[in-house]
Amino acid sequence: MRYGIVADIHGNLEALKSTLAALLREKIDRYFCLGDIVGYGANPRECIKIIRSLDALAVCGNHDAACAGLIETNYFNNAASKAIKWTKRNLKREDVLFLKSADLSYSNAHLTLVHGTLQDAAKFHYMTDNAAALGTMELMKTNICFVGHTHIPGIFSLKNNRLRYFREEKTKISEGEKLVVNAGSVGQPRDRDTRSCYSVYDTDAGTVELKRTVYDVKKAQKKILEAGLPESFAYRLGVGS
Amino acid sequence: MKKMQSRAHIIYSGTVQGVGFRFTAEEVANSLGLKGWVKNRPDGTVEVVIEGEKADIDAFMNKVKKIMSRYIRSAMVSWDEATGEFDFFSMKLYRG
Repeated sequence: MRYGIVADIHGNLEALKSTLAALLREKIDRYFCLGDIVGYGANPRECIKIIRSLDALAVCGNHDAACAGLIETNYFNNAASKAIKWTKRNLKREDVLFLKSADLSYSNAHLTLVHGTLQDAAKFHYMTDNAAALGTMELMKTNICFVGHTHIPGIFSLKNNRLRYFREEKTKISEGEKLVVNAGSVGQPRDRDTRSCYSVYDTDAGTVELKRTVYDVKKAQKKILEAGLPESFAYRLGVGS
Repeated sequence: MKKMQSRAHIIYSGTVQGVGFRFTAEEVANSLGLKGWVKNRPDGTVEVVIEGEKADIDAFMNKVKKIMSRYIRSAMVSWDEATGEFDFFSMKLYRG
């Protein structure tokens, strides 16, 4: 199986369309979404529609949960909170029902998915250090778990009691190795690279790829400004932060 | 003079659901100015009803076939005159 994995789309339709166009060349058998389909960007409804059209299994992100009314907005900073209020006003009932239907985590025979960390998934902790990675690895029933939330692609690997973190475009999974893979962000990358990020997991080849694709950043920025969303969201798309 | 408008009813078989087929159909149809809809059917096929100039519908089928070649086993097409009932091309999210 070849899995196409996207995270943190954040209502950025231009980024999602470019990412999908790239994934359509990847011979994907099934799509997964690591949450935060909405929030920040100007096209939350359109992004939900595309994810639904892929029959993609989506886990719940913190922005999804807030926009669906599942968590309070005081969890967020002022700008993010404004975006959540804007998004809530612009979603229809069917969109909210879809966001509400997402579980916090998912597992099949090949992989595990969660937005932040498996430990206290409902608290949406960030996978930023070795302790967080080890905590998730202890709870994983598969040898690989995909996460999002930080918007920074990278891989934590545990083998022979040695934990390391690296950022390589293609990784071959070795026998007895456990991986926590951050798939980066489609709609708001924060690693000083403005290109959308996504992951391809080939279960037969035993490989994980972290890939990038360009999209029309200016168009996405213009939409954010025209929608009256905080200017900072437009700015950060142009610098990848 | 306005060219004759056609309508095609297409059933795509193969591994065509959950692989970006409806997204692709909508993108290609919109790029060609065609109208109609695409939806998943309960039997695992994808159904398209599309209206416009025949040459554009042919281009639609060729582009979709090219992009989704790995997933399409067959495409069954029937032609008719356009009804003009559509204002745009849309993706239906519900089966049936």
